[in-house]
Amino acid sequence: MKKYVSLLLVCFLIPGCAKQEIIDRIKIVQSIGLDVQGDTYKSSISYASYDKKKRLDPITAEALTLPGVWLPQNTKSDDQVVLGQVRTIVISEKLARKSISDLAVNLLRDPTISNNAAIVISKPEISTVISKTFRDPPFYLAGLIKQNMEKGNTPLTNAHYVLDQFYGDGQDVYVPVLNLDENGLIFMDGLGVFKDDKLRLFLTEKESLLLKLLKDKPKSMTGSYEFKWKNDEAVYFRVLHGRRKILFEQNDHVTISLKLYLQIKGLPKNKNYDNKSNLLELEQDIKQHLTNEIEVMLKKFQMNDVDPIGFGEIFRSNHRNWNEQEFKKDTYSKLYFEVNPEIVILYSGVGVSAQ
Amino acid sequence: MHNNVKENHLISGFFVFFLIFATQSGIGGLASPNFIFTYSGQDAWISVLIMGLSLHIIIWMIYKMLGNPVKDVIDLHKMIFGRFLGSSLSLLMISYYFLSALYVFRTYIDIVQEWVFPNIRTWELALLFICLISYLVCGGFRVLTGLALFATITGLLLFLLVYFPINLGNLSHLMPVWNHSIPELLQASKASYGIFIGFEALLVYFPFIRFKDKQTKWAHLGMLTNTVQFVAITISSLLYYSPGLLQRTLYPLLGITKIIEFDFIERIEFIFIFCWLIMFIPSLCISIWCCTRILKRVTHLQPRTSLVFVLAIFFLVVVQINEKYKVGALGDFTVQVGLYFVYVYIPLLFILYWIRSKRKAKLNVA
Repeated sequence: MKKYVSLLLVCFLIPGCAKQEIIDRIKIVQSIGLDVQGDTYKSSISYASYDKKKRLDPITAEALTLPGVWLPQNTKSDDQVVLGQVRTIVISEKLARKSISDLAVNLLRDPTISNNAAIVISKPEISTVISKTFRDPPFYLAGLIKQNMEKGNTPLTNAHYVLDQFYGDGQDVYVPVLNLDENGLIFMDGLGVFKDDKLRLFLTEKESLLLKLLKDKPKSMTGSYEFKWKNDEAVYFRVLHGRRKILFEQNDHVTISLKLYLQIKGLPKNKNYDNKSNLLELEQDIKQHLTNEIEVMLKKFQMNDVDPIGFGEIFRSNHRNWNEQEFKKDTYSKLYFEVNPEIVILYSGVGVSAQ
Repeated sequence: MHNNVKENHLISGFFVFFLIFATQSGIGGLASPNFIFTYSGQDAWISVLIMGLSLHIIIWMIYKMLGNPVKDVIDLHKMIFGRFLGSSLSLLMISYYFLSALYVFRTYIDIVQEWVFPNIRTWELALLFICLISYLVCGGFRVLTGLALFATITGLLLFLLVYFPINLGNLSHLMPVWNHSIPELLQASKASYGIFIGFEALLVYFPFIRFKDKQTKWAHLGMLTNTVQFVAITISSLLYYSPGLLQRTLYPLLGITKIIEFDFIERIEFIFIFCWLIMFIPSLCISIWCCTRILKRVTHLQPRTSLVFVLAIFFLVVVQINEKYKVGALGDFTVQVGLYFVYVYIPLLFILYWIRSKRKAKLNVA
């Protein structure tokens, strides 16, 4: 028996022959920036460093294929470049307008890239954004995006969602957009919506919240919103959580019921909102406003022939003879939406605002 | 023709539950073929359910054939086909168990190479595992049964992870239910056999079970648990992936684990792959054990000697299968052979056995 055990122990040494990777002797990529110029892909990466004093620069590369950009990247690096911890993939507007199908295929086939990685479009130059991510390493950009998805107005999306929407029938891809403000800070600037594999339109930050309300799971239906009220008074509120139901009543009539739980923060100064009638009036007005805004946004989607909400997928699940082409060509543009938001104001502050 | 297994080598009847569970979840769950979804789309779970339930009939047949008087498949062959033909058929069955061990083993190595260590060579991993297998198989059948218990516990623990895809999933992906024709569903059932492969080792280890007649329920319960488990996994895949993406995903279960993230561990799939080691080792070892057992029963070769030969050949064959398309072809071939073995050969044996026992009864009466 002892003989067997010792033989067994010796065998455990065999994996030692495999390549070792020691954590501070590899370059762990945190963000990848991808751009396209003619037929060549350009990339730049930012990576984590364990030496605080070291000055970090993005590594850039050019290659014919998308996975191929790692080859020149490695020639410029002293340590091996590894992709296991990529949190963000930033694509340029140009690449998004050309086609993201190469990116999707690459994500689908590569087991090393996490499905939790976020995919975002950058309006400014890729290299600028990537060099900004060294501001607060590691994972500054990933933190920024994650914070906005969990607490802010950006709908939840990651590599898995993008693949799901890209390959799934009856829905289109949407990804967050990054921009730089005048001080050179990165901020979330709404969404980019794709038609098949090409970027079709940009949505504003406000619309991105409305899309989030129509798309996200109840737990992450959060965000903040402000709008001008009838007599030029502004209202600002936070959505704390909510519920949603999308139903196909007939073939071309869609009812969207929303129930939103709000915390009112900014109130008009001329009225007292502790009494019932004023509060109900406010609820009514918020409801009216959201109904209009959502309807306008859905019209915009129909005009541009994009379906980020996935009405096609809901239609498919309700109809036995589903045909994607037919739905896209005939049904989608004729859909009539009935939006019924129900507003519940949970909190309105702990002081009296009326003057 | 009597039970020649010593009393102290027997296992309790309810261990069959673990044996059935462990031999079945070898590799199927991990590398479950995504083409069941091409055939029956959102109804794939019905196909898996049909497959699982139909296997209960096969288990019933096995218990009927081998139960009274207690015998294994070698005795059965001899009884039906006579000494010479029966022994040759038994020897042929070695190749079947060998093949199914090969399929499980090579597919697992392929997953490890593809997902975790692309640089590791097949022979390195094969050698490591073969040492482990030889150690375990030398321990005898009761050791393997104990291993099956651990595999079952691990399997049930890993099963808890389906919470994540179901939580992220979209219920509309399952609708409309039953939108495929019966032939399409059955075709998908056929493709899903790869998940269930392995339980037919029962044919060989049957004499090792104590009180066979009373303990039929444990075998059925094991099969039922597995069926429920695989149906749940299939449903969670369906919820998690949109239909289009699911058809393009080669390892749906591993793809699901890619999304799971804890604060202390970010890429759970690597841990998941190695947890699966505990799941697939018993099924692999029992297949290899079946080879040596049949050899012992037919040729009276000592298991220790035959194990060395079997594993040496095993190693040589595994190293030969070193290309992607060969691994795929091996999988397809094994599932095909397994399907014919279970759904054609076992019912055939059952019918022959039935005719034979009817005739015997008639003779006795006369």
